[in-house]
Amino acid sequence: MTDSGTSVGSPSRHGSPLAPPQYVLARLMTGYAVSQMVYVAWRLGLADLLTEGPRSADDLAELTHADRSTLRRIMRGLVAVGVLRQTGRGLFELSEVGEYLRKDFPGSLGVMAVCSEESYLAWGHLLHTATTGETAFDHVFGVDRYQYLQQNREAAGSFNLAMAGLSTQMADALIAAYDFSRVTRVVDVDGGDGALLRAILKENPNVFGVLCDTPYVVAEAAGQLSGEEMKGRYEVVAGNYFESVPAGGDLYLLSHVLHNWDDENCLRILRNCRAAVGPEGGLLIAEMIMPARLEDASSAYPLVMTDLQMLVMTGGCERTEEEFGELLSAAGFRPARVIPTRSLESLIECVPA
Amino acid sequence: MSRQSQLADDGSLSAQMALRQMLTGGWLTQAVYVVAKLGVADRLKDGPQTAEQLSAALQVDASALYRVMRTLAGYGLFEEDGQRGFRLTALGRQLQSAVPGSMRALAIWNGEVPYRAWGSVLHTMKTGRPAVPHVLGMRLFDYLSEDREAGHVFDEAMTGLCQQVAQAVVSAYDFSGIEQLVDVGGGQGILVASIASRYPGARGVLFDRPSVVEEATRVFRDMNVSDRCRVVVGDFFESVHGGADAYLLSSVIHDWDDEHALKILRNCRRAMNGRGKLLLVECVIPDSGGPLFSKLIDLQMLVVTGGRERTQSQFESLLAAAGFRLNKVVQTAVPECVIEAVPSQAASPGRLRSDADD
Repeated sequence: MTDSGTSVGSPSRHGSPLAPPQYVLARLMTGYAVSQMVYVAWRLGLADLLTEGPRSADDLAELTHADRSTLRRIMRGLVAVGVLRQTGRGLFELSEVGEYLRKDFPGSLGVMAVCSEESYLAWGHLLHTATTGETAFDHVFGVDRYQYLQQNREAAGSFNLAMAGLSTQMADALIAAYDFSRVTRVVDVDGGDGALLRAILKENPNVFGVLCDTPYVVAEAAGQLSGEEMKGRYEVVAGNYFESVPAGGDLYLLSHVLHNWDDENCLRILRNCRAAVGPEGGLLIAEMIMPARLEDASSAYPLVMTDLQMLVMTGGCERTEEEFGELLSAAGFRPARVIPTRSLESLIECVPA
Repeated sequence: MSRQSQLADDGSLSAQMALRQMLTGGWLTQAVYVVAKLGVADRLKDGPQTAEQLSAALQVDASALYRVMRTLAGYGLFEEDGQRGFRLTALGRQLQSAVPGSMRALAIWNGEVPYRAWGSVLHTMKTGRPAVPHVLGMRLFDYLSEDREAGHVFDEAMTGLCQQVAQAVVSAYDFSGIEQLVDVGGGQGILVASIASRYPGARGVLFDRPSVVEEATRVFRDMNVSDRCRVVVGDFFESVHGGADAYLLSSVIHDWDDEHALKILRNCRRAMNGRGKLLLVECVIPDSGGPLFSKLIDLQMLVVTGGRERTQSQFESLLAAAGFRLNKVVQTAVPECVIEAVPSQAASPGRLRSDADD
């Protein structure tokens, strides 16, 4: 029984753009509860269990060894935020959003990369970063993220898997935006599992590829580059871009490297690239570019959130075009042009100054 | 993530972006926490300031503060003026300390204990118990009396919320005709004082533990209702002050399981002697789907305090078991509703609908 005209179940009353400021703020303030609900769904594998069709909450509680009444309430919350739907018979099924929580769904791993326990703990110390400027991750774990990943193989495994998912998605956008056909030898300075290099070689039969990364990563990288069509078209070089970058390439790729580092470290990487590149060669940087001024929340969202993730996790940042220009000229490069892609990243094509 | 995949055909967020928004919810909590804790909104009340000016005054890192505030500007808490200056918006003003219904303390509270508790939500999933004792080593209310600073933040947060709820309830529900009102477990007395303030014919009793007397007396004086509102000390698990024509229970029932809730409701029923109205101010979870904030508040109870929000049918059966009939549910401008119930002819001690019956 409710007052006439208003229903207890009226949808989205407190989530509409017209909601009073208290509501907008309340949603921002309680955002952590939403992220942790999604984390629970991911950790318990709810989406994988719902792939075959709708199930009851009790059924899922049994399968996941979760507390029955607690799981029911969490699932009600997941319905409220749009990850699950409830069928007429009271069973739960996946929404389009929930599909991304399936471990076998394309793109799911990249999206879920932000869902780690380490990330949640580090974010709990954003105030420390704001107060001191010190990276929250280092403050919480006592080592920086790269050392941590080297020491924790399990965390590194899921991180690399997630990054591979992202680079596969991005590779198509990059090769569509840039003409690699005139290049003879491309060096991917931080090539990860080789997904980007593979995409370039596949599309451009005359290009030879050099994949660089840490010894641990390149040991596993050959997977992406295996197969008949890649045979004899690439080499793998283990190394450290803070020490040197292999010479002899005519195009050097830095994809999502610079945003992980502060200016000082970026300069070391860029100067090592500069030392390796020949007078006729070039450098291609793939990064998101921060606009000088943000317009609105929805378009700025991925940029500012990634920027803050860098602030908290790695000590890096997302840079404006001007900031990239300053770094590049300090390292002896001149930005020739900026090429937008259909993904969020742009390409900055640079030549030796 | 491609630019194309951000938006679906109808212009809404793509599923992938929608999920990313959810996953980064905790980051926003912490960003709001930082500006609330540092008191940024108070510093902006006289006009825009740059991140450099703010960071010099607050002794924090200028670049980090700028990046946090730039993000929150994207969410409408500030407006950027193009010269790195930030101006407060209507949304951002909610984080000022001295505005009525201030959300500053709530933002600080959320960023500390509940955030940590939610980091151990898997513990709650396995045990069904709140995560607070798991991360703090003691129950929430013990912690709040031990750690005075946290206790203070919590009290202030609840005061801000109470002010919002009181304003919304007084605007939405018609209290005219009520002469004597007892606010059972009403804490600082903000709700009963707001009602008395709006309805000059109403007299109010705040019925609560001895610890609230001092603060409630101050609230009554500040709101100019001391002549019509008073405190009666007691324990609602033993008995409730009688003789009024309306009994109010605001955000009390959601702290308790059915067994304890029934004890409180039956004591109200006894005090009412078969007449008058019972008014519950509580979130009502819709029986069907619907993206309502009340479900999130329920999860906060699950992980942090150990209470629960109920559906309308759960309220109906709880009330029936205590000898009440649910008369109507009145929506307000906040997630809490006013549930009006009256004594039924005879208490029907029928079986309670449990959570599992939904």
